[in-house]
Amino acid sequence: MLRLNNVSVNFGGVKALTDVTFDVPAHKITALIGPNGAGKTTLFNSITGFIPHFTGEIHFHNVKLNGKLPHEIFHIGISRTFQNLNLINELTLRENMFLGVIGKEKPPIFKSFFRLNKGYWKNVEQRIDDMLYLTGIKKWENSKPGSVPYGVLKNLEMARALISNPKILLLDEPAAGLNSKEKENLAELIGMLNTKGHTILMVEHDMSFVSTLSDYVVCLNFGKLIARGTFDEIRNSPDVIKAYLGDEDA
Amino acid sequence: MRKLNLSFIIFNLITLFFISRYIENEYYLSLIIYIIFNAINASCFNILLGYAGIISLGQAAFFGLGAYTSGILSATYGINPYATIIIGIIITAIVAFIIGYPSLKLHGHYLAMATLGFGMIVYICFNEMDFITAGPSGLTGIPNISFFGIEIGSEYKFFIFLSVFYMIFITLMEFFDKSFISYKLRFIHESENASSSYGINVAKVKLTTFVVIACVTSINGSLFAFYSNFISPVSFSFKYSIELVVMAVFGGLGSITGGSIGAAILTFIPEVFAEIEDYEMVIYGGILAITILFFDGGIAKQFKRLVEKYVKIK
Amino acid sequence: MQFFYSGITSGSIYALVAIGFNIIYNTTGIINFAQGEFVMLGGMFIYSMLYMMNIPFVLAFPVALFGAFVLGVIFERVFIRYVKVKSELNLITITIAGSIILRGLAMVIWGRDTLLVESFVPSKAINVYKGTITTDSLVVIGISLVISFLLTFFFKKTKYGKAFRACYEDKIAASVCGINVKAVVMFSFGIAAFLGAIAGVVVSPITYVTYSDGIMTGLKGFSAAVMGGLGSFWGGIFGGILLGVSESFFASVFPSGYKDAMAFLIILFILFFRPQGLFGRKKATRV
Repeated sequence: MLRLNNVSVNFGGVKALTDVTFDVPAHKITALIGPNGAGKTTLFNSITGFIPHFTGEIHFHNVKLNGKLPHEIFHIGISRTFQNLNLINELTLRENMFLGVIGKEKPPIFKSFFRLNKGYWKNVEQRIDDMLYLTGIKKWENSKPGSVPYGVLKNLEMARALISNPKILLLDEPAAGLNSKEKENLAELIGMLNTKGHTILMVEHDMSFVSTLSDYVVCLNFGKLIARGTFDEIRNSPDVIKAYLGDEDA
Repeated sequence: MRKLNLSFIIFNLITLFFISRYIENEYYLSLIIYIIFNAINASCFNILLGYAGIISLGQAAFFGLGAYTSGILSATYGINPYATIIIGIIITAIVAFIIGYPSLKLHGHYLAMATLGFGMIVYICFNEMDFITAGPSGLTGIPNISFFGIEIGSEYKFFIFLSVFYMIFITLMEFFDKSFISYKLRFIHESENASSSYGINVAKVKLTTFVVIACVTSINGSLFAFYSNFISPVSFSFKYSIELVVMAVFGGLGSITGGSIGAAILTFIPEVFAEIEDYEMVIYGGILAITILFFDGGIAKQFKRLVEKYVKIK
Repeated sequence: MQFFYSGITSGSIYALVAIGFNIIYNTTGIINFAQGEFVMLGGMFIYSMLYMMNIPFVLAFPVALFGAFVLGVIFERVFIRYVKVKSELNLITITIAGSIILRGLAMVIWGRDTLLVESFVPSKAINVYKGTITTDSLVVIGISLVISFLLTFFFKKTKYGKAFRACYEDKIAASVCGINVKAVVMFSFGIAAFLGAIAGVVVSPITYVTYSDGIMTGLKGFSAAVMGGLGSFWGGIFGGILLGVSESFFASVFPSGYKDAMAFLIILFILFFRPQGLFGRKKATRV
């Protein structure tokens, strides 16, 4: 579905990624793991258009992503979340959900401004409701981001990314900063999305999170792909063990 | 889609109605007219900085572009005032596009300095291009504007005329605040990266906002020229841009009421206490500093907090 | 060639102001919009001491600089330290607030008129290659360049200078390494004000002093700093001189009223096309 072919990124002489090649299969959860500085976020940024100067090729459903801008990539059907939440504190959670819709659908400006297309917005509200129920945060819809638990905000971020019906969802460390209960909830949510047929690529550090969820795992170290396969295959790969344990020795 | 909150619009309507009924003193009327001009300009700045996070220290230049285009075309060439307003919009849009296209790629300090530099250039041009602008001594002989055959000459007539414009402006502001467009701008303010990865063409949205706001400021400038019948570069200097910043920040960034509240208070105070004229700048600076240091969000936010507290107790 | 000499004179002032910007930028990441006001205040201080208090120049000069230093420290203590939400926009606004207050106070204290300051050295025009240069200009050039080089050396080579830089890179790491970050930030404002005041004093016999001078000087100093790449000392010196020379070149070609507009056109072009400065390299931005 999403295919990376010999992707390399250079930052002023530092090789952040070197010839990374792998596929993200459809309707599966793929996890991207690796020690700090392995190039995971760089890879995400290359896919989503924030690093336009990568070499190699990235294809999505036979559409070449090279040279495309972030918003164009979004319109192709790739949605991503960030490590920081980027919610607007003055707006309620429900209002924050609109941000997932307006970029995708480009509502007519004039009509919306003078409130002439109430039907359209009613439909949007309905979809937001559905998504709030689905992610289990409906009861917080009228609170502001500052006054709800962090886990709820993470779910909101997911809901906001999902409402645009992306073909693939890229999650940047979804479990970071969550307590174990919240992690369980999030894992449940992601698992449910998968059974509904969503394709997910996520960067994650938490190995138990990765092991329960992911169908495939790709491991990076020092910008190079060192292993890929199922979680069990990865766990026994000597390169991966070296990358993680070697990292801890140093 | 959020519900419209008409309370501020109604409040304005009532205030303006009472002013129109009971205030006959020409001096007070002219003061109120100045407040309205400033309120519109400060609100425009507020949309840029408070919503979209675009710091534009050259708003006085757009105000001046409108004023000078209308002034020159109507006074020197005798063109119909409404036509000059439209020409003013076109010129301002072109200038704002040329300036905005490269400078909106910049952020924070760089953007502030670029817009400040732009404002300075325009100000210098108003002063130096005396063959059309009449230079520092100012442009005289700007005619009054008419409305359906009635010449808007007296303070009172102009007050009514401007009030209508202001009410339209405030209503549009409310529509804007409750529409998805304001969400879009806030999202861009919060994070350009996040909003672009949600499919928003950040550069395009920012540029459009900048140009539209410049055009509204330009219309306001044209009306200013027809009101005062005389314009000189001093009205459009760097100092005026900064005054707008103070009004918007003091009133409350990111709220539709902020610009108007700030403009009302900060235009009113120096006029009433004429003896503090020399200290005007110090006071403006002090108010700006105190707002940033102690009252993040300005008066509008403090007021809102107060109301929320009161409502809870009830 | 005459434009070249006058360009170097004003250019070395811009260089001093640019370095002032860079010092604060390097330690805090803030662009101090009040930098130009300190130049104006330097001129005001020296005027007051020479003509209102009749203090001899030898004494007045260091006192004026010290006064500016203290003012810079106070400026940081009052305006910068207590900003609750240290967003870039808030910091911009607060330094703008500071600059209007300083300008407003200067107007109240010294009035709106231009104040004349006589030359500190016997005024004479010296013939040089295809033009003349006044002794006043030589003083400006000499002092500015010496100070610029000394400071650049201080920040690049000495332990204390490196402490300043460390603060910008990572405040927490710097304080872990035993650097008193608060003091460093305070000092950087002091030194920047001190530098501004030097510029203000040496240039006062040439341009005289008006309360409203600060904006222009500040903007041009910033332009110089951006031209050379914000944060770079050598860049600031070079940018200042380049700006001064090109500005006076334009002034010799176009009507002189547009001189300042030309300076701003240059800055706009630099900001639009090479915001990292003429020599700076593009920094990788984190997403």
